Amino acid sequence: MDALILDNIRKSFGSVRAVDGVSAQVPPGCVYGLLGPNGAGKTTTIRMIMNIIRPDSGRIQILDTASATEARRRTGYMPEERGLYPKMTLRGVLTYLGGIAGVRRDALERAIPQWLDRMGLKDWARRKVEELSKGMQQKAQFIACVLHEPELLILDEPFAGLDPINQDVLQDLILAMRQAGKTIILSTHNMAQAERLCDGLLLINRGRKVLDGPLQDIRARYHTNVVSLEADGATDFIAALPMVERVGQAGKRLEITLNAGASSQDLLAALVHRVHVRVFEEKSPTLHEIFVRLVGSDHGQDSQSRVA
Amino acid sequence: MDRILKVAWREFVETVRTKLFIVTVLLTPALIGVLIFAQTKITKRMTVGALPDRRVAVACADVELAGELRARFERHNQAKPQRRILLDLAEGGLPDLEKARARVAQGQVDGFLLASEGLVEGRGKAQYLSKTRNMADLDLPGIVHGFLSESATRVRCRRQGLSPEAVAALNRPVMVEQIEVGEKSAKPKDMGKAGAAILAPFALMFLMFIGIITSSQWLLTSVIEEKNSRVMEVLLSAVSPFELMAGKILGLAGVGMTLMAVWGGVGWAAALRFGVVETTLPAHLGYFLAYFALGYLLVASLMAAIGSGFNNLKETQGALTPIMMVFVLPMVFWPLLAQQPNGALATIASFIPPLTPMIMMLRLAASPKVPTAQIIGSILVLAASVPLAIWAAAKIFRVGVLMYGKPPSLRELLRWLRAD
Repeated sequence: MDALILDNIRKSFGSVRAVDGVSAQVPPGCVYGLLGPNGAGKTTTIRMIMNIIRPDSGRIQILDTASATEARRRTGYMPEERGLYPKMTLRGVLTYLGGIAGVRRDALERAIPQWLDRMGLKDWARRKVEELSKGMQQKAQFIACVLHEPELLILDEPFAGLDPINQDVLQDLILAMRQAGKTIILSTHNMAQAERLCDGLLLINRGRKVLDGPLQDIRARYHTNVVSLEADGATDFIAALPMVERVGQAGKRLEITLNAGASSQDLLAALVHRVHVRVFEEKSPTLHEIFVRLVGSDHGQDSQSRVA
Repeated sequence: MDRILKVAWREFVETVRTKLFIVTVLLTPALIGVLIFAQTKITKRMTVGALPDRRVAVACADVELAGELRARFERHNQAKPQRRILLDLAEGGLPDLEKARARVAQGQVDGFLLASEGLVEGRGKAQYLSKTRNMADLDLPGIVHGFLSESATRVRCRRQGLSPEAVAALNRPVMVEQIEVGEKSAKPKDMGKAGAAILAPFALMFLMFIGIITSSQWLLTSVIEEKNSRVMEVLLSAVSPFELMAGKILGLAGVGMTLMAVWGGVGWAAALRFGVVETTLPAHLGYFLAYFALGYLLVASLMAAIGSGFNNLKETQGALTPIMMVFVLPMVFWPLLAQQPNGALATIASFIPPLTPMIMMLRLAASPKVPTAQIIGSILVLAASVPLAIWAAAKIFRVGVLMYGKPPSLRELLRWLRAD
């Protein structure tokens, strides 16, 4: 059973169509990326998933239930607009948020110190939130949304505002949670990061789905049939090989475009006898390249003035 | 419900801990106490310690009148040695007005009385020259005038062959003791209790005003702070907007109750201490709580809705001013309302929901005869308005708390209300 199903959901704010007929399925136990440029409708989609705003039409099924309100106890959510009570102590605010998320007091007494320790915030437990750095606050925020041990974690721009070290800390945590069988949905506009982390993804632009599915499938679908080669020896003969359509130069490498239907393995076999192959790489396009190819170059600026 | 209570408890604890609350709750009664204490001390000092003498020059053409005046000033100085009025008396002819003016102007005397011939017979006017206009000496012309009149009366009596003492005895006022016949046993009232009876309606109304407005203001601030600290959406992932709003309203109701309990308790204790009450308060406590609960719910919903739509306190001023105006109205018109607690104005105002709690407390304290039907009726009207307010507030709150940027227009608010 899928952890999340979006079925043709739509949402408008006045005359602005924030989300326009998006459908997707998120299988359980994976890291799923919700990608798109600023203003594409990511946050609106996530807010609809969390039932914070209601879709104008369409159906959302989350953890086998019809709404996030029912699945709330099993879902952890870190919103994009995140903050903590500045005047409360770190421990106090976590106890409160854990409490309203339905965790028993004695369980919190155990879990909070463990999490603070794990995140390197142990010494800050009795400090006021306003004394913490932004990165620390964000880590505290993450703790707040996992205290009730949710099966499904929804993180809106989790890496925004973190330094590289803390980005790695968070990335490791996300992967550990997947290892433990949880489902993680995260939104980001950083394609490279999504590519490293995600098993599947949904790419949206201007409120519409551009593509979705497992990352491998997407890569295969947009496979370019280009091989990047670095080799010692005379390489003039390559252009004359039967499976080769065209040879280009990229720095000290060659970019070899194969004929449709040709196998890169045949090329490799033809090469190894005549040159010393140093690098042989099937070039698959980056998400960024796929995205640019699909939506053109008009995604540079915000797609729409944002409503919320 | 569990979540509502958790939200309420945090709201209560975090508010009660703030410096603002502690200052408001404790310092205000303390300050009033200090003021009362200081005032009684100072008043006592005035009666004990000596104040500087005052000098009055009197030029009196009538020798007999002059004698009476001298005697009157002496009696005064014997009775009040701590604040003597020294008399500089010249009998017979009057000095030149300019000379008298010069003496006053130079500050040799505080006042100069020119009592011309024929005053006793009722001809002409005396003249009193004074310069000082400081508070301490404002009473001096009145005192001198009184002495002159008294002395003239005594001279007149003697010339008519009457004993001044006998005339004074004839003029002695008749004493009346006022007894109010109420439902309870009639008791004589002294001045303190009469004063309490007059002020009790206002005090109750004021307490109601403070209780409702202060806790609603706190709610407004709290909602805006949650928006500003961006904690709103974190909360909304665990509780529904309605639960959040309900919890906040409940928690701050507790804050309001605490505030009123302390203030009301201090006021009550002070009134008992000075022996000015065994008043209407306990009898109306039940009504007070009922009106407070309903009135607070109404206003608090309004404030929650307002708070959700704005980004900072400054922006809310425009929306708050008209509301505050409405609430200040009973405070302005309270003497009128207290004089006619069952008049048309008071009766009509009792059925205007936001005003009901204040007006009804004023009426209940001012008159024992507020019709029961009106009490029940006003509670029903108020109670009916509360769910409506909460419904509207919840709708606005749900959308408003996630909006940042430009505050919504009235048209947008109506659209939010229509949204499902």
